[in-house]
Amino acid sequence: MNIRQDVLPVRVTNLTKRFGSFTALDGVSFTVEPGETVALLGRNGAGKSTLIGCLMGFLVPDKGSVDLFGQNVLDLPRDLRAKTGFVPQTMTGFGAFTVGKLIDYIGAFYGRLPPIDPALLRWADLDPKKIVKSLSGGQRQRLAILLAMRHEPDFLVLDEPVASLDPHARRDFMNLLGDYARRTGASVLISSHILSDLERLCSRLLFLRQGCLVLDVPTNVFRATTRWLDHATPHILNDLPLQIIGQRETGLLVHGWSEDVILPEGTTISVPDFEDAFLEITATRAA
Amino acid sequence: MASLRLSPLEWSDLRRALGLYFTATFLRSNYMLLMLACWVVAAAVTLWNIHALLRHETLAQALSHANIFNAILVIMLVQSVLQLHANNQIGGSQAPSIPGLALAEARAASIVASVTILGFAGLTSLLPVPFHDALFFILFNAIPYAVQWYAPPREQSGKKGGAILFFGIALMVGQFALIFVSNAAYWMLTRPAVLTIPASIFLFIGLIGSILSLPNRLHDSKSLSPSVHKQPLPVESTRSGPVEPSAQKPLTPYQLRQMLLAPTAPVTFRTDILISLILIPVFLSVFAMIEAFLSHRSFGAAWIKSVGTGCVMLVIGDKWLLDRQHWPLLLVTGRFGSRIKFVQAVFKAKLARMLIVTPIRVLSLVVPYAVLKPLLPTTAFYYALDLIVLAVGMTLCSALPFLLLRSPAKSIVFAFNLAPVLLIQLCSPFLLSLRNAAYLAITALVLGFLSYLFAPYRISRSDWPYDNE
Repeated sequence: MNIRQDVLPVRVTNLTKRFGSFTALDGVSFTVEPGETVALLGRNGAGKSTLIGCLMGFLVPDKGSVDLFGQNVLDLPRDLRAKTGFVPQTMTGFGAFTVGKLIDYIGAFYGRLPPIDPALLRWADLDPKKIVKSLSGGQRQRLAILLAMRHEPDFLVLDEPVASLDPHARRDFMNLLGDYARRTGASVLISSHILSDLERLCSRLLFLRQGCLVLDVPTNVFRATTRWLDHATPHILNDLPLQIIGQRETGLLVHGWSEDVILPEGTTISVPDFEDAFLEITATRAA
Repeated sequence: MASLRLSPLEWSDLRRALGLYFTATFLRSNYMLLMLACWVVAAAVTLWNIHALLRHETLAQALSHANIFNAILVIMLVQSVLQLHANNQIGGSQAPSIPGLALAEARAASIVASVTILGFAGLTSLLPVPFHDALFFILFNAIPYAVQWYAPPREQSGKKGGAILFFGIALMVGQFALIFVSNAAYWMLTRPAVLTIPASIFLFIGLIGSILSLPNRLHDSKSLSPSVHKQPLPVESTRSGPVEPSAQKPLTPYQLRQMLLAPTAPVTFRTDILISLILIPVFLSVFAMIEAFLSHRSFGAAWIKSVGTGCVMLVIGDKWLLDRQHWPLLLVTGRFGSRIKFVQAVFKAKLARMLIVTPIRVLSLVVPYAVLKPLLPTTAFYYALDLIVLAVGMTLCSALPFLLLRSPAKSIVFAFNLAPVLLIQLCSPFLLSLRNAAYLAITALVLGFLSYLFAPYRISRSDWPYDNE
């Protein structure tokens, strides 16, 4: 695999996307480094799929830009498009192909390809003679994943890829994805609601709330610096030099905590569960 | 718009996309092929008939005695078949991310469309008419599909898009009006070369350009997953309570009945009545005006001549047995009872709609016809009765495949769903005779009655489609 380390696979700058009067994305900016595995987190309707649509060049931003491999995604040349892979939430179309014929047909658009990774093929476990239309939802999703990874893309985008997979297939796929990223050095951006998978797999977390990127943080930093701070008079915690990312009756969920931060006397510190933290950070709030 | 110069990679993409045509993949995906095959036979018979008539008649006479609409329908169905095939690939959720796929599919479709159009023009020229006239005739009748193929580029201004849309609709309305005029085919097949050659070039470029615009669909936000556009509910907090029951008004029986027939593009009962009141008088008047202008007849004579073709509008309706994805959802609401009760409710809703709408359509056709012809009131009454029975019976005949097959293929259901329109079109030369109309009406009544009685039982025991493919 030939990856140019000097060019960022992804650069999103001040991205805004509206559908009529509804703002789906509002000034989102971030980059993805080569080899990074990034989780995109947010509630339903937070803008994850819209962001992925803009990232892949399927949707046209109203403001801002998306660059893939240093090139605006709306003018992405064929050789750079071939370095990307995309797994949709559900696979549609191509219903009349047999599995084998579809893999060959789609694969040929990427030029000469190496043989399919045996581990991927084993995991997909699909009968090449079966007609796509006759596959179950989970089998179709495995085919979509196989089609997206077959050409070993440098940047792989997965939009809730495991929602229709059984627990075995899901666990095996997350391991496969991790191995793939490590083996090829590819960048991966994945959106999912299976938080435990994302926490285990991803090196960075992007939290979207109501179309805004509210937190962009490496996973290890998030684990180390996100804490619940509780106090009998919780309002005094508001003045601390920490990013407040959530709150409850007795205290605040903060990001940026360290042993060096001086806390008011009587403050109790606790490590948040990843799911609780997600619920707090991505909770919809009144404007 | 795609470049005409192809790189070696693009050539190989194109060869692969072309290689899909007429393979098992193409045949499996295309539920319109059966319909096309039927109409190719009908068109071949028509052309043969015209050829035979030409031994002792002029071209104008032969065309007025034959049903040239069959040939026009083949041109349209070929375009539909090609569109369905191309959209099966380009409409796939992963298609936008596959480099070169959409362009290759568009190029392949444009080549197949060009070959079929030239082939049909060649066949039509055997009538005999000059090839350029035949080509003009074929291309003119492919206009609606040029409009349907077209996908605007993402950077196109709204103003330009609006102008193109208006131009496309104007062409479609003109084409639609002309195909119903009896001697329009003769008029088109006998225009001077100075008109038809440039017009053919213009139409050909337009059609191919429209097909090559297909890759723009990848960036059409409407074609993306619906979840992309789902707006969040205006919830103020994650800890909000359940939605208040008062916010959800239960569906009325009227709304439910409308949903039974056509949930994707519902024409409600009220709208259907409104359309029925104005559809036939307005369209037949327009056709008659064009016919009168082209054939130097009186408006009344032209109106009478259009009635046979106008009968098609009696049975234009929804795809009530083809679009059944919504059935499981409506069944589980429990408002209709068991499966058999549900299917009977669908048939009852269709019959009720037809029994109210058809007399309105028939009267708006027969009353002016009786006045202009003129017909005796009793004759007009029987004629109207025949047409009502014919239209209602034929519509129910859409369910006939379910009497014979447990789970008929989509192509067969599609063919029978369109059959009433096409059969009435085929029979239009005979419909103006009271006796013929009566025979057809009795046949349709018997078959329709059998369908209404027995098809719901068969359908209630078959698999219902419950996904989108």
